[in-house]
Amino acid sequence: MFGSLWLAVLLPIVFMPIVYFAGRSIGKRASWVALIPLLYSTAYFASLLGGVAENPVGEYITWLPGIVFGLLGDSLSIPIALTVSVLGVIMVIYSNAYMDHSIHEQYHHQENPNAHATYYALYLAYITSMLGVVLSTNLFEFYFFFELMIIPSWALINVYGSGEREKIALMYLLWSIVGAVVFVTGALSAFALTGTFEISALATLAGNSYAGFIVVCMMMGLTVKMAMLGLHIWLPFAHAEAPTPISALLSPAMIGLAAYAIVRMLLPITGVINANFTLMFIWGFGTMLYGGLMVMAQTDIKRLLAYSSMSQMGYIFIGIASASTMGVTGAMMHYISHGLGKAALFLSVGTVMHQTGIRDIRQLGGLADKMPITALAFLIGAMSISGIPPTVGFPSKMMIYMGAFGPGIGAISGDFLLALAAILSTALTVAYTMWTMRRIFYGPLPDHLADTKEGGWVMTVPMILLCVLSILIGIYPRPIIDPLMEAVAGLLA
Amino acid sequence: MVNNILLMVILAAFLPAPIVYLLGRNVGKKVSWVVLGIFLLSTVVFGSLFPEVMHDAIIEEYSWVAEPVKLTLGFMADGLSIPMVFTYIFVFTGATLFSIPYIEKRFSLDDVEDTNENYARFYAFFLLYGGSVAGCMLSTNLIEFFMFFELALVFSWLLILLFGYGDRRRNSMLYFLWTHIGGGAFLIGILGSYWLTGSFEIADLAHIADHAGAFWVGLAFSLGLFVKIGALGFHGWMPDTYSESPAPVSAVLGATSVMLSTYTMARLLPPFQPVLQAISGWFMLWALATILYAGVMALVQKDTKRLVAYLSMSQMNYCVLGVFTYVANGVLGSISYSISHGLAIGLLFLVSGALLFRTGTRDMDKMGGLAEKLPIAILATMAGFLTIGGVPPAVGFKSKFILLSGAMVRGFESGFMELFVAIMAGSLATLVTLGYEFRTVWRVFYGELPEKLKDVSPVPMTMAITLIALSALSVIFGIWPALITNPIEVYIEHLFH
Repeated sequence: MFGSLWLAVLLPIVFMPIVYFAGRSIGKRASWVALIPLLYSTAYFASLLGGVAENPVGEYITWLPGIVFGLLGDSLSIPIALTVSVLGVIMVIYSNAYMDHSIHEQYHHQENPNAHATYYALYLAYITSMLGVVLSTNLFEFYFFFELMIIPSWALINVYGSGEREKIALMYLLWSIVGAVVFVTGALSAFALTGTFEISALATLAGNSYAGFIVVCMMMGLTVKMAMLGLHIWLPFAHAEAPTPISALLSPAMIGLAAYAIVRMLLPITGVINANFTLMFIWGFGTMLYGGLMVMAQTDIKRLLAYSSMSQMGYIFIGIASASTMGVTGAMMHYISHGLGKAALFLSVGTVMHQTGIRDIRQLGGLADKMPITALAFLIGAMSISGIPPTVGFPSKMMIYMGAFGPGIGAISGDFLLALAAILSTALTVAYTMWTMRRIFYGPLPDHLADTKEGGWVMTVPMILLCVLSILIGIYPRPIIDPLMEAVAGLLA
Repeated sequence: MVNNILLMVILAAFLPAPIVYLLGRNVGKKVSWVVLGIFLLSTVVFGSLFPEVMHDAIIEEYSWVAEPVKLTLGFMADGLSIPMVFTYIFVFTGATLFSIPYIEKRFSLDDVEDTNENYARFYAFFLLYGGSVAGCMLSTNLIEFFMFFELALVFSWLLILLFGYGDRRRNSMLYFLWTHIGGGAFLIGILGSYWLTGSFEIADLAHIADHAGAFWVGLAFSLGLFVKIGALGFHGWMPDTYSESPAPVSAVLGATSVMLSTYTMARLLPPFQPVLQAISGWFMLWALATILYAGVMALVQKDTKRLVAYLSMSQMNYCVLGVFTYVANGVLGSISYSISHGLAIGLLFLVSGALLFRTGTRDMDKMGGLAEKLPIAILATMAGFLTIGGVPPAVGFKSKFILLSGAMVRGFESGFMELFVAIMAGSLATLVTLGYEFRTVWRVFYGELPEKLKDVSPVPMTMAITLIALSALSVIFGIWPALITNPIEVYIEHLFH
């Protein structure tokens, strides 16, 4: 297909001014303009999907003397980039209806085309930065996109969020920047030792006496973004109060990118992660358990989903901790399942909020009859993140556990027991998603919801798309898993 | 290309100064447009030299003194001086444009008379100040350098003395004395180097490290410059001078401090590497201490201009840190960071001036919620802060990143202390920076809009153009850093290979 990786990454941000100025006159219809570059990126990444396993695509430009900025599409990065751009397309369609409503509320029922224009412009910048993070070949470039990611998302929460949005946005910003700063300490140390910013050169650090220090710094920085236990304080606030389409990007797409970065950058430094399996496993397990238990305690439906994201990051982290081909591939697959599943959940809940105006779970119930598609989306999303067939979550979670058992098998060891405990606690995910499903969609219908209607097509079509993708990939995951596994095996070798 | 282009640019600042003065006495504030024209023209000329310095340095020499010491009046434009002087004069151009409404308002206060005479003085001195510093950055000769350096001091002192706020006599005296102490130390260095090498030419410093005693010369140069850059302990003059000058003057003072000092360090100090290497780690530590001290001071300020003053002091010392890593990336980062910083600090002083202009106060406690009233001011503030904090897409990101990568290389090469400094400068210091930056944005632009400020009108057109132009340049350099780093790289390669 015509095009290049640079074009696919940069086209959204190039469209920023166009969307902004168009939006000032056409208001919410700017979302259709914003769709153009996103569709292009998606189509381009999809066209690469089949071929990158044999022929990875790399495009390089010299940014400064000695510093080459590149984009690399291989069988690890393309599926992730494709997930991001697919979510980008789906959310921009959904935003059309959702943001119309919320901007209307925010500006006291007055038309405000400028608010739409800014929203879609920031949205495009956000997508570009995420794609850049995925495809970067250079630490400098990675950090550039990683920091760039913070700014539009901060602005989106700050301006369009709900509740105490300004405070929460600031908190989000500060946490993100603290993480980035710690990361950069590691990245600069790596530069000092390898003499280059190339990500592929990080592997040469293996065995260096500073390798542990560098991995810890970079991982700490990234795990802030992943909201691992102890570094998660910002997540429930930011994800609950961001506008729903943005929550659906923040939560599965952005935080998972940190996991991808750990795989891409830190796993090849052999000897560090595998030596600390138990420690990392316990951390992942703790995150998963804590997030899951907190979900049960929430009454706000968006905050609830925010905690569930945290718990899913725990699973991904366990997969990475195993440092085995199976586990890591599972973790990356789970990025995709969590991306599709959590997005479906957020959209479903967003539609409930949009149609009823209620976000307190105690005032909801029995909506399945009134909003069948929304309920179905919730169900498929819940299955996806719980790992129930036929959704894509099944193979991904399966593989994470296969990886987690790998190092411990053979004897009843501490690690084995931990893996056992982790697999048993999967029940927790099933429990909290299904229980939430019951609380929102089943049971008696309260009187004040008697005349609730299903959302319009602009809201239902994105949800259906997510469900279909999740099931399709779940039934036939091999086109993605096989090359992914090869790429991961390459990194671990 | 004209043969003596550099001489002509410098003369273009000095020769018209009396005319500006005489004209100003007749036409008053309109004379500002003449000064603006001169600066604009100089910016264009310096900008046009970029392609040339990528290959060769442009050197012009004029015989000056033959006996008893041979002195040449030389001007050199190379990969180091052109990006510096271009950005510097660009800030001057912006400040001149900004001053048109600002100075009128300044003169409407009781302590300065609103006379044509005052306009004439202000603009004549402003022009001479810009010309002197540009002269410094192009000099090939230490005596010539020192002459321009002292001229710059005199003109800036006059600007503060005549047009400053508050206790301007005291502040200007403080400024004059401190800078003179620095200049004194610097002069000792100049004479010492003449004693060792028998020449005042900067080019002849190249092998100074072979002479015994070069250590003391290098130390004298360094200490002299530390005063100018406000290193901890030598910074007594800085907050008062910056905060009590009129905004356009603060802007150029800030840009001078960082750019002139870094330029001089990058120009003079690399040959001293063999002798200064041993103590350069301590200079790095000193720079870190300044960064942290001034950063914490910035956190507790209420006055917008004092805040910018401390912020500038804090961030400038990254340049000291970078230069003394004696690693290619550290020096390259320092030079380009000083360019970013010069732009951003000019921008921030002008924003605080614009806030004062519109709200009549510098007290942040009395501000709030101004984002909607002054949209351009918040955009410019963000551009300035992002540049200084090193956040993309502003230019500071790239330069600080390169600087810190150099510091890290030095850290792993040298030892624990240097490594500690590098890590702290990259992490803790950056966090302090972001802390006060966001606190300020929060206090000034968000939150409750005070009753008094309900009908603040947007900034005047000339101010808006200035703020936008400076922000835009920062973003352009940020996205396309090769514009400034390619020439600097030429200079760095020459140094380290």
